[in-house]
Amino acid sequence: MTDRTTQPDDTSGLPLDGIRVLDLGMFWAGPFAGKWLADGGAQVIKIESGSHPDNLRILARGVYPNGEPGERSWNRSGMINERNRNKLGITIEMGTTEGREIFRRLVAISDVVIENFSNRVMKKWELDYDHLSKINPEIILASVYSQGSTGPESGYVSFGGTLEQLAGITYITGYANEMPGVLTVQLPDPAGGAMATGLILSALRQRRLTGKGLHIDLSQRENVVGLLGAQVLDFGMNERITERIGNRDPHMAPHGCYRCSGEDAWVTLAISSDDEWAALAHLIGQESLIHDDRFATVGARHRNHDELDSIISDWTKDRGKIDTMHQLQDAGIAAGAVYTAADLYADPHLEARSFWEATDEPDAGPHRFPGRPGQLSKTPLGTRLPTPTLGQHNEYVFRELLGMTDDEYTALETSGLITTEPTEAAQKGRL
Amino acid sequence: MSGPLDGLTIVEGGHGIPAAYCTQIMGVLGANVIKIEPPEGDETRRLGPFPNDAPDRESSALFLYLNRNKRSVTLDLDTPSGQDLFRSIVKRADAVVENFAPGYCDQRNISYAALSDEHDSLVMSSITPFGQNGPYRDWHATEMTLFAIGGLMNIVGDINREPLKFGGSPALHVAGINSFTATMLAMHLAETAGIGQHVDVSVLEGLGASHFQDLVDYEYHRTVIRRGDMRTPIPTSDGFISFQVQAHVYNDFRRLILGPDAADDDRDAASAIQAQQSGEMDLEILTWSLEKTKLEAYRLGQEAHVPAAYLADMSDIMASPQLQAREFFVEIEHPKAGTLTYPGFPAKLTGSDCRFEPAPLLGQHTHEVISEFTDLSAAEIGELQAAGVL
Amino acid sequence: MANRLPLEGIRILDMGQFWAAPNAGRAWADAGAEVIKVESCRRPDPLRIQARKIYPDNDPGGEHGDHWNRSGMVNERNRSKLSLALDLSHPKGRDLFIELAKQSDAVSQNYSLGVMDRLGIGWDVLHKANPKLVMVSIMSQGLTGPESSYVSYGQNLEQLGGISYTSGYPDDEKSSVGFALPDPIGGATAAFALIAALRHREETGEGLHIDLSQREAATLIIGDAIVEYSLTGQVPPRIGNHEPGSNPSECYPCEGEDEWIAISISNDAEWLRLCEAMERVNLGSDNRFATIVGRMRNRDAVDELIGEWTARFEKMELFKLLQSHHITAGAITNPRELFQDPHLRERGFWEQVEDYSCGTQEYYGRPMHLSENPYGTRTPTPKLGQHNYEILGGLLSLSNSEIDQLTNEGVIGTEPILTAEGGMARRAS
Repeated sequence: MTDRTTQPDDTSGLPLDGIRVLDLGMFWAGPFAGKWLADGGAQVIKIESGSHPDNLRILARGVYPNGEPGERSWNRSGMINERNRNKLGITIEMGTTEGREIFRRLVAISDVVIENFSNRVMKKWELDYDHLSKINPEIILASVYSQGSTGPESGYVSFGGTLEQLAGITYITGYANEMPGVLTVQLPDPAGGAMATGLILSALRQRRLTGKGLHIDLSQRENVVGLLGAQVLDFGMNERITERIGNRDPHMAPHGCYRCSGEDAWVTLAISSDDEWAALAHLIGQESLIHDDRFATVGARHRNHDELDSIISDWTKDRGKIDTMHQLQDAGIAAGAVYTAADLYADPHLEARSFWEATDEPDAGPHRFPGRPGQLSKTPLGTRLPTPTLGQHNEYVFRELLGMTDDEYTALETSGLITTEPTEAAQKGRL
Repeated sequence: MSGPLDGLTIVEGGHGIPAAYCTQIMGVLGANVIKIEPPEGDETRRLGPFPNDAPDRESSALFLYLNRNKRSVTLDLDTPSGQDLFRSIVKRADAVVENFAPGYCDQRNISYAALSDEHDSLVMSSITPFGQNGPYRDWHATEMTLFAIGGLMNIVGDINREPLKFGGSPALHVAGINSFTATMLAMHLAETAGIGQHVDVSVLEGLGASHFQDLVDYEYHRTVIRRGDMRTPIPTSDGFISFQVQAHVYNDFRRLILGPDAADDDRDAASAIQAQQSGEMDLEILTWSLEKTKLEAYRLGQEAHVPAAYLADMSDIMASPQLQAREFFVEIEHPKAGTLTYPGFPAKLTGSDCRFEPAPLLGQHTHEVISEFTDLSAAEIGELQAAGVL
Repeated sequence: MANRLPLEGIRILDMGQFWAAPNAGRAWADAGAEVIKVESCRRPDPLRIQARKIYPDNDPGGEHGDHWNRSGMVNERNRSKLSLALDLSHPKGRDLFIELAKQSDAVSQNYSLGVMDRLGIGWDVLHKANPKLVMVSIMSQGLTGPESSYVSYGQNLEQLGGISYTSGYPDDEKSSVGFALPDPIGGATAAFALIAALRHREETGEGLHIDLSQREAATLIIGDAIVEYSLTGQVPPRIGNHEPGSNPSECYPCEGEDEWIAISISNDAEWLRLCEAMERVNLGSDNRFATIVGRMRNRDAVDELIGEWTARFEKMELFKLLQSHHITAGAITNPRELFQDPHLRERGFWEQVEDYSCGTQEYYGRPMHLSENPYGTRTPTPKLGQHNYEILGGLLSLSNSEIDQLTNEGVIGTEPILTAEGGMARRAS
């Protein structure tokens, strides 16, 4: 047991207080799982190295405060700082035998290891589940794989965007009867990260029941196919391949996205009943259309959707998207303005719900980042710590947790096994 | 053990996708899920697709998938008798996962406060579009409107045209995954410390927390990212592929397309990739890709460590050698809908198995569950049935 | 054809006696069929004789001393018919009956098993005489089976049909609904069955014989209990006034002696409305009674609370009050109250009939009205043999002297032949 007073973070009372997680995750899906657990009160130690910092520290796509990389650019990348809050950060050169030995010592005192490498990496390092469980039979290894640990494509690499294509979301997203575009939302990552978290929590339960650790072999591709269950069943039921239908919906009409006044301003609305249709017709001053044969039933509205679209667009085109959304909602109609990042940050509802959480990064300064999908009534979750700078908690972890002496610790620093700066090659993007 | 959630009893209430998908995951992992449906059934029973497009409340594909492994109990929650039964069942359960409209449970005396009164360790997860408070609390929402307000629609589609929603309802399913995670977080404390609590899941906030880049772009230097010109995938002899070339594999990518002897590009990686994305190598890529099938091109790309993907429609996905090797798809026999192929579960856990039982018929387990979870006599259950509460 | 009644042109020989078959006959007659009630002087409809003292002004004789034409139970249920008093045990009577059957569409009868055959006018004979004839035999237990020859009245059939078992106080061993429910049910079933058979004949040209068991017809009305047994193996208990699914469902006392109101609360919302009607809103928020199970478990308290309140009201006032709160309630009414009931009056349910031997009487009408034409009593119940001449002369073209001759031979007549004991004559066999 370590002395709480020396801990960099106070997690007492939080659900996962006392759980230690080693987070080897890179990019998004893995770190996202680590963040969920850290939010829940686990001590999550983000492990990077000088030669292989989290890729997003380097491939920052120019997302730095005020666009300036600054002196320690790797600590100023927005995509790192948004999704690694509440974690501790250390570095270990995992490519070296000595580095891996230190990692093994951490495994012995931890509950969970998260990784989202390709499936070759942990094997190559002899840190796959068979090896880890010999060090610590109660360890839970969560592998957030692209396509799982087995199968002919298991070694393939992927990103959210490629998984969207491989799992079928890209194919069914697009303007009707046109080629789909390559998507950039990368929803598979947060979906995979959240699923991994739920599975880790389930695994902790299994461990409580059996006393044994376990390996979670998660396939992100499968996780995304799982979002399309109805489409999978439809293929078997009706030999039908789901096609692109733009913003339309099989059950609702009208259902679309309409241009508003202003640059690239849009509002969506969805009508799910005849009553809602009547409400919309009233709102847009077209009462005569309520019982018009072309629009009176959902079937008729589907058949004459193009005509409806132009009627609705005529109404929306001179109105602001936010006002229009409010007007529609006031009339009991499901509607949403197409928000940009700026709109989200300015939204009064999210503000009222205290969605945005303040951080103050040592090298990036104070900022506000999104909270999380779920909030707990008795143990509120929030941002306690900013994302660690590279290797920020080396000293705490190695000296306090592993009990290294001054000499041992200094030797680690001088050997380059631990650091607070990426190597020169890494800084140039050769990872 | 059969699953990590063995012995956990979850009561699901509400309708639609998020709560049902959340508890579907829990059911596969071994939880005992009791789905409370109104007498007319969950609304997804009315949504298709259906076999041969013939609507039948027992064979909606969406319902069958979302509700496998569950037991169905019909209760009229608009009556005190139905509410009382709900409370009785919850008394012997571990968690409630519901996506009723905000306020619905308060009006019916089945709110967290009411349910936890005699059940300290109860976890209740309430999933709503906008959360349990705030000015939009009572707004209506669908997959598309949430995708729009959540800020993701803004970046899908062509900049010169209307933004696009994702096909299907993936955002609402992800909300189910988020709920699963949030519920399990609270369950951990409930099971280890006996402290239950109320979990407030907002679909919108789940989407707000799922932005890769544009939120931080705005927060860090006030840049508003929008859709660009729509990039379409690259044609092959039988379909389409695409590459997501990263800096550290850029030269691997060059050799893949231009041949093993191609020299390294001496520009810095970022500007080289930018040039490639603006069409610099398009002709060479086409020459390469058009002679290959999509699966070949995908394999060759991956063997060169270049993140490649092919555009998969549902028939490609069902035929995927990888998904088949993983035995991802499972067959489930359902008394009304017959034997159908379902997505299995995306993870394998050492030491436990996934469970795949068919979705319940409407009210199939009402009697069984009421007998198991309440102290009502057979005569009392009979009265409740006769009165239409069950 | 605005005034054409639905069954106009259909001729039915109605050999019904007592209640079940005559009731079916009246339904056809009211609907326009020519229904000839066939009795005989030796054996008139037994209710002409066993009138249970129900005569106008309690006077059997009246002006003409023809008490058999004054029996309330006969006059109530044989309206709109013609009467032929024909001795079927006489060979000539039998032959005439067969001739009439040739010119008719249907024969209806509810004698005991074998009676029609012994009279020589069984289905085989009639079918041969008129292949297009439809015959409905409203039997106690049907034409086949080990108990088909057993005799019964409506009350017996209640027991056999299972109705009695399901009726009565929970702790009572014996019970009966108290009236011969299987009779009107059997009659209504027969009325429908004959129409269906006539339609069949219309399509195919074939007559047919309907074998109707009153016991089976009566069993249908406890279908729920039967299904419960067949599905669960449990015999549903006797539950008094309780109606499954309604809690409470009970008769409560009202002001006055033996005055009652039935109240049935079928869901929680109705319970709240009852509490409102009782002006006891606090009771509505009492958790003990808010749910069905709660009201079941506290049934005595619920009954006491309601009964204490209902006893303060006159039952019809209370009935109106509860109905104004949309609560299912009904006052227990006696015949006098039914006759005075303004709702039934306004619907024209009561029909004034100028009886041949009883003066003006009021009888119940039909529970339905047809939109396009009057549907109800066309003529009073005929006197015994009232239409002997009309029928035999009109349909069989007998001359008046031939008919006189039949009268003299006792084949037809207008007065019952009573035995010394006051009972009916039986043909010596």
